[in-house]
Amino acid sequence: MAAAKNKDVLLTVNNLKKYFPITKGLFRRTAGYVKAVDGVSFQVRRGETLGLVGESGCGKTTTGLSLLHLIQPTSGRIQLQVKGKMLDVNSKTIGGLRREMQIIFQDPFSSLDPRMRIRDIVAEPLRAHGLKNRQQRYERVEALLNSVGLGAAHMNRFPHEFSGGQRQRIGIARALSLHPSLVVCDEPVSALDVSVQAQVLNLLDDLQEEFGLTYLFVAHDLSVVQHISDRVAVMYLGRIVEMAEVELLFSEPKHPYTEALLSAIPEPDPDIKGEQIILKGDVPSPADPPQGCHFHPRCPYATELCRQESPKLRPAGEGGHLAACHYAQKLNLNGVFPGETA
Amino acid sequence: MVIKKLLRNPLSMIGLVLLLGFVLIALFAPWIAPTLEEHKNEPYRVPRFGWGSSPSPPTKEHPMGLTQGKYDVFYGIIWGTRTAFQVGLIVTGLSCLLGVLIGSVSAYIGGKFDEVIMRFVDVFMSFPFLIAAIVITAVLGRGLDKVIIALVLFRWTGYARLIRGSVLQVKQDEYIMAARAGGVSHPAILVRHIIPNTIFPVLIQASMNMGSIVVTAATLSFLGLGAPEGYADWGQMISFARNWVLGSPGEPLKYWYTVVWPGAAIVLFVLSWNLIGDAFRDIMDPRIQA
Ligand SMILES: Nc1ncnc2c1ncn2[C@@H]1O[C@H](COP(=O)(O)OP(=O)(O)OP(=O)(O)O)[C@@H](O)[C@H]1O
Ligand code: SF4
Ligand SMILES: [Mg+2]
Repeated sequence: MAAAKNKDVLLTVNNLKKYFPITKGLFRRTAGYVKAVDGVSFQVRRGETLGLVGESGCGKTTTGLSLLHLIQPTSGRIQLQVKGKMLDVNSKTIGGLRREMQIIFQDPFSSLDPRMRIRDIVAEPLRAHGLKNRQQRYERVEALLNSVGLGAAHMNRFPHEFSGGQRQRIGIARALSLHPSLVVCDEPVSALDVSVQAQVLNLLDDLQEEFGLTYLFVAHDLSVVQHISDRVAVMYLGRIVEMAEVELLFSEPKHPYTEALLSAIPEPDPDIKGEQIILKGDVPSPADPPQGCHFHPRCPYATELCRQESPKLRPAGEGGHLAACHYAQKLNLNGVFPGETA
Repeated sequence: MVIKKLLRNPLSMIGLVLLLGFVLIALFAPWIAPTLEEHKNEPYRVPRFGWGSSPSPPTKEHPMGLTQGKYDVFYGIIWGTRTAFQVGLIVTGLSCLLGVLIGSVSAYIGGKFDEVIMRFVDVFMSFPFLIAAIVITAVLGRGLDKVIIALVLFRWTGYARLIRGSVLQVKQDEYIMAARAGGVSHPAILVRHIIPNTIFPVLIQASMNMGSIVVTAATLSFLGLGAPEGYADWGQMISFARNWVLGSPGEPLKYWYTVVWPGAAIVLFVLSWNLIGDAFRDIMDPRIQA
């Protein structure tokens, strides 16, 4: 994708945590926490797309929502670059920073108010940000709809009159209405038919170029982010376990979990019989994560050390390759070679 | 569009026609049942024709007869329509407003706040209404306005509960979060997203309640807590029938007109609102329209 590779950092996330309390009984005693996001750190550079990948429930959406303070993070520091300055994103500053950070939601069927017309849905952020003149708002809406492949004819309709793909385009138009610099795309195509997924991905690609957007692109499998991302972060049970440039992550994974995810990508050529690694067991509950390395109950390489000690996210190769595995340097894991997958 | 759909359903048609009839009667009361010259300033005072206490049957001048105390039933029914609308609309409007406001804010804020408010609602709901109404009118005095106050005080809780349930669901929807992401303030979210998506069950309930409020108000009048004697009010008209419904020995239907006319007015009024409420239920949801 448009690899605008100037290195300035747009977003820095440091040790972000979100624990949901589990309450029990009549008096809502806190009986424990779901550690949905448990110490996540990463940076996003201006103009790039960072893919965030992991199985269902690993905390991708929670990460995205916490970044935008749509849910209150438990702890951690979030900083966004605005006009050359790194500004803290917290509950006091978020009001002024909303126009910089937007989100496209996972489910296009529940992310549009069923009782609002499209023009008012797309215009709502403009209105909330003080564009009082209705006429001007609707002109902007028309331009936005045009840039996502819809038009003035759709303005007066209600969401139920649209298909999933069209609804997602409306959601995109709304997210872009304030000209944000960062857009969190939370599995924007996973709810769509396969046939329209590519169209929406291409649209996002074009819009990134047109508006100079930076994406945090969430997906639950690697094949979706392969083509759209510059770098990829792999998440497991609330933590990032590996992060690297997309080609490196695919060809030389340094974490056994990434290796397993890569082996699950279907081969286009049936002759190359890559061996799929079947992970044993299910993803453990984030309310009760395993001791030591979160991945050890399912990891084919686990040792006693892994059961005892939790590995930190550390440099594991060239080009800022990071991995959270005690044996990241020693294991010789199988990747896929560029061009090998669809 | 809504109107068109209402017209297509025969039952709601009946409801609409009945309601329209009542509206016309209320509007044109001064022409249908002109106020006597000597009562010009008190049109809600039902005129009396004669001084006996027993009812007298319908005649040309008094097409629905005279009830106990020689009050003109026809006049009472016609002007009582206005009273029914006044009580129904004021009570429904105020209790709806109060209930929607308290219920939706409570659910939207949620947590401990919501819990406290709902316990408060429980307390209100656990009071037997009639006893509470008797106490209130005993304290405030008799009269329609007191009846209205008592009704509002004990009716808003139903709406509050109803809307609270839907708000708790709707506030989880992603479009609420999308609005937050767009920078929309909490009050604006409540007004523009939450209430429009939760108000319809309340409106349906309200239209159903229009009828039952009039019945309750009539009950209070029947118990002597409502309008002062002689005020044009259907409940009052029925209470006049109290001693005559059983007729006289050998002639059980002798005084039928004392109870049939006001009874019919109340039943039809309730029916019209219920039919309309039913029809609204089927129509008002754009998600079903698709
Ligand atoms: N509001 C909440 N209250 C309690 N637990 C929550 C809440 N939201 C999410 N969780 C839990 O946090 C964990 C992470 O959820 P999250 O939605 O972030 O996962 P995800 O990676 O986006 O998954 P998916 O691919 O299914 O969207 C899950 O175990 C989920 O059950
Ligand atoms: S630390 Fe151990 S258990 Fe965890 S991924 Fe590495 S080898 Fe597997
Ligand atoms: Mg998610």
